[in-house]
Amino acid sequence: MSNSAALLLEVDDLHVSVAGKPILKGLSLHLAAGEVAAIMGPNGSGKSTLANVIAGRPDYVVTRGSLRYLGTSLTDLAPEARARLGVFLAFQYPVEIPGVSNMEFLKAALDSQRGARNEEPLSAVEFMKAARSIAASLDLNAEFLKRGVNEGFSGGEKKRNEILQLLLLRPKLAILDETDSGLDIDALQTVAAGINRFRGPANGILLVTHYQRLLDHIKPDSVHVLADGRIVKSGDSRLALWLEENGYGWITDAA
Amino acid sequence: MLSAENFIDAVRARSRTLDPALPAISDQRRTSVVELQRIGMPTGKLETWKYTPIRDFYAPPFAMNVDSPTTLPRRDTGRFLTFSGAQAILMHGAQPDYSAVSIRHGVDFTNLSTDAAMPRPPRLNAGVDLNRYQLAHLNTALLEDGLIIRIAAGIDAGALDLRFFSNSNGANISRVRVEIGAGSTLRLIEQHAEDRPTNSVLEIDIAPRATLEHTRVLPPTTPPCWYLVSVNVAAEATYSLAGYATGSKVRRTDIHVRLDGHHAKTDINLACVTHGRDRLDHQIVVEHIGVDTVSRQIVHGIAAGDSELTFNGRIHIHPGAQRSDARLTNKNLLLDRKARINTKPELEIYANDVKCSHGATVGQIDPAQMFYLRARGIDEHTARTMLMRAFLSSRLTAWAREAGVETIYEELFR
Repeated sequence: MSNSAALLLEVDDLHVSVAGKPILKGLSLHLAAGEVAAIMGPNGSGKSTLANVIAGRPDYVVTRGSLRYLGTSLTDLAPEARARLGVFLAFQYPVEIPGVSNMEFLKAALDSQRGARNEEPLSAVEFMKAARSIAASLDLNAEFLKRGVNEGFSGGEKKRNEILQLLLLRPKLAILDETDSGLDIDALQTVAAGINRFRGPANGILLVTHYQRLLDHIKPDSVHVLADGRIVKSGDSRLALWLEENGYGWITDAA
Repeated sequence: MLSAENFIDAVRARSRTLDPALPAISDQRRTSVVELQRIGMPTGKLETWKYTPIRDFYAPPFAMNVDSPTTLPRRDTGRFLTFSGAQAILMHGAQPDYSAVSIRHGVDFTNLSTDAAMPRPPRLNAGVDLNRYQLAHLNTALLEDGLIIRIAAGIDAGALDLRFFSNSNGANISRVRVEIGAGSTLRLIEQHAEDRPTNSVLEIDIAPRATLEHTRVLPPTTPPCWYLVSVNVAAEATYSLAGYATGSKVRRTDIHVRLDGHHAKTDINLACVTHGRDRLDHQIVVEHIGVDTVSRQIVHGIAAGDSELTFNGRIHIHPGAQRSDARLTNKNLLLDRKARINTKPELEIYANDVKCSHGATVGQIDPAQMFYLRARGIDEHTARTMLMRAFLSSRLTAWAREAGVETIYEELFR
């Protein structure tokens, strides 16, 4: 118990099916507060499924095993309940919502999370100040907040918008699903700086990524390799470098 | 229930009693009664009335207006939205009251019943396709009063807000004719808050190079309501319509836009919502008659509960209307299992050099958008509401938004 108190996330023997098809097949993973874990693996290994099932995506069904956050089971909680407890998913493909302004969306999200913690909603002025300052730190101008959520955003803008939400909502557990994909080198540095700003002794990060390059900017404490719905290899940051050299071919060779 | 013959007889009898008070339209009234007798009661097998029961509009309240109406106070009942800069004209049933309008030079109001010495005889039904809209005959036969607004050439006539409400326990039979002179501009608002059966005809004639910006607001009501908006658009003139509508027991709007002159344009945006057991039906016909005419129709609909939402958009390109450019889009959200959406975009093309596109979709709230919002802590109900508002808001003009037009959809967001 003394150990689990410091654990943010405990995934044990997790089996998940999507549209009746098993994707995760007995995945176990523990993440401590303050830890940054990289989840790597080939396409189709289940990385995104893991990210989405923790956030509570409705059509992702846990068929066996457990998913605990700060000692509480997440499996029966609605996505909004998980978010309010401090779980955050940065989407691989952020959804466009024309007609809802980014500002309105961010305010609604922040108000609902503050409300759940019995905190007063921020005034419009306080909110705007906070949102503008975070936007500026991510090289996004204030005009960006007035646009429809992700509407017509470039790939890089969408990813930066995810990091903006991360910094504004201040969760405890951040799952970053291929946040590095589709970013040029400048955007990658900006996004990495944002993630490093979030990093801290109380926060945990699951960095889901296909490539090493994000890890040049955010040094992980641990690296896990996912294949066919299970973790097949774990190590420290050197494992990521080894993967960069050797690719994922050894997985099928080993199997 | 009245039989067909009895209903038409009742209409004829009623029209005779109304005639002396409104001599200006005597001839037109007689013509309409004769036509109604000739046509008889519609059978309900008409294609354009497939989803909305036309019989509800040939029902007793329409023919049996009370002889001495229970006159309601002549004041704004407060059920109307306030559009900034617009001057209100109250339509108590058929009776217009424009006393509160500070009339600009070049804007002329004619009250059919009281302005006996009319400079010109009223040209009622001049642009109305009476073969298509036979209920306009009923309107003419039963008219007690009406309003003609004439805008001279070359002026900005500002914004006028027509506010329709019931003034008796009979039916509302109302008629407004708007004539906009060459090169002039008018912003016209049409708000309907009738709580009695309604038959309302709005005729619009837009002269060359003139512009009408028309906003329609139909907040929730209960009785059967039929409205006709019949518009003629001359060369280089523009008719734009922003319509915001909710349902009733039966509620039907026919919109007929004729792009008569070259380079005439129309731009139609509608946001329609039904819930409960309501029905709402929009039937739009846009005729491209002149060359180089342009039409755009974008209609968004949401149907919830046990309601039925109907849209029919017809684009008709006449022979010789070369280089016509017509587009029509109808998008719908179906929220509940028992809700129904009927949509039918139609194209009829008799010219060879034209650009036309039309499409209709019926879908549900996007689960990916829902998950995105909920993953940020927004509860399911709020997320749904945000997405429905967003779907409708793309059709809202800034002016209508500022006037609070979204309040007419509140029931949906509960």
